[in-house]
Amino acid sequence: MTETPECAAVRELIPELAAGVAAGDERARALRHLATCTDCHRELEAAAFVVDELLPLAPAVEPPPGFELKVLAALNPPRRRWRGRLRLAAAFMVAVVLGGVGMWQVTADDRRMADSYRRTLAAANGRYMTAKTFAAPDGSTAGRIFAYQGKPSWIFITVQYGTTGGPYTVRLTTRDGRNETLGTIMVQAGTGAWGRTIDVPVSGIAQVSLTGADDLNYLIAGFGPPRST
Amino acid sequence: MASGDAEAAAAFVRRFQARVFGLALSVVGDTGLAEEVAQEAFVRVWRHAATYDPRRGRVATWLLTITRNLAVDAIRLRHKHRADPEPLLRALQPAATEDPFETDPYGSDQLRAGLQALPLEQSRPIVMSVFYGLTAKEIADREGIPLGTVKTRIRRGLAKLRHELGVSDD
Repeated sequence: MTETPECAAVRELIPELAAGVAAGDERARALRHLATCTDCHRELEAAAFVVDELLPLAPAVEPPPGFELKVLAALNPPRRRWRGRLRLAAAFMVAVVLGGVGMWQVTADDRRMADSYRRTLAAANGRYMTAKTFAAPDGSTAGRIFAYQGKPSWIFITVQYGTTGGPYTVRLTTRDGRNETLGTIMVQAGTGAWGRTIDVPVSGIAQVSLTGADDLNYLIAGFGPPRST
Repeated sequence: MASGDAEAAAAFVRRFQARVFGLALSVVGDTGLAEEVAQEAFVRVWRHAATYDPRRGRVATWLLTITRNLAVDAIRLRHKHRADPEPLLRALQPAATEDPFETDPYGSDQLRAGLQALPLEQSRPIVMSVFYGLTAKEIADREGIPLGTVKTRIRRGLAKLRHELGVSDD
């Protein structure tokens, strides 16, 4: 097989590719070539095999006491401990939102409900609260986000969509175009809940998105124009 | 493994923890950081167990590759690359398997002997690249030798190790 100049350039990089240390641009160029060159691909596989076999030669060392317990705790994250609290928080917030919805439909007969809502908001210097839906790609409702404008302001997200699970990254986009990653919501069997305080005013939110792994859908909740208070 | 069963998780951690922690410690050289790295490696592997393809190789290899990548990321983030590969080079050793499902020992006697038999000018950059995650350029700068020379030494050294492992060129 004739070695082309491109083969020669890639062969020189193969040790670094095999060790996973090649710089991004060089790596991308080499991978393009490797996709079409069987000989270079075979060469890389052989080098990667050597690297794989070298790693187990590092001496085994027993980790500090308690390591196993820490790992097992991390494998079963505080999800369980939090689940009860999240349910409680969700129930509380749903109650507050229901109060809020009631106020928006207020009539003279609903003053008592409005008073209750005002008192609830006042508990944390709140000015208003809103709820939006997460739309799935097929247009169905995949979850909800509750946003509270107060001190502090916070959001709480519930997801009920499909049957799959996995982590979703929560990202917030502001009306002036800034993007902020807020955290990760763990969804199990299609269900999950998560919340945190936010630094931007609720009226400054353009949208909140949930990005999952490859096989999970991209969910997005758009916020309307700022609510006048 | 993908089922997330707690007993299986405990058995998995027990089986591999010394090898994972040992590799992390070899790379980062700091017990606390090595513990963080090893813990994260187990979490990553366990969470992504469903994506593991048995045809790709042994679970141990997958786990150790992830450990090494996390360890390298950790020292890069903290600008704490280790300077001298020779203590690690001397300590490299094969170990008998504790895994009843894997009949081969972890690591190969021939490979260890082959690595230790290489001229230092070849084994040093190999250890710095494979274990410490340094690029050829970084090794050249640290060792004060031309980049082309580093690349040639690593290629020649790896070729000899391939021979030790019986991996042919064709």
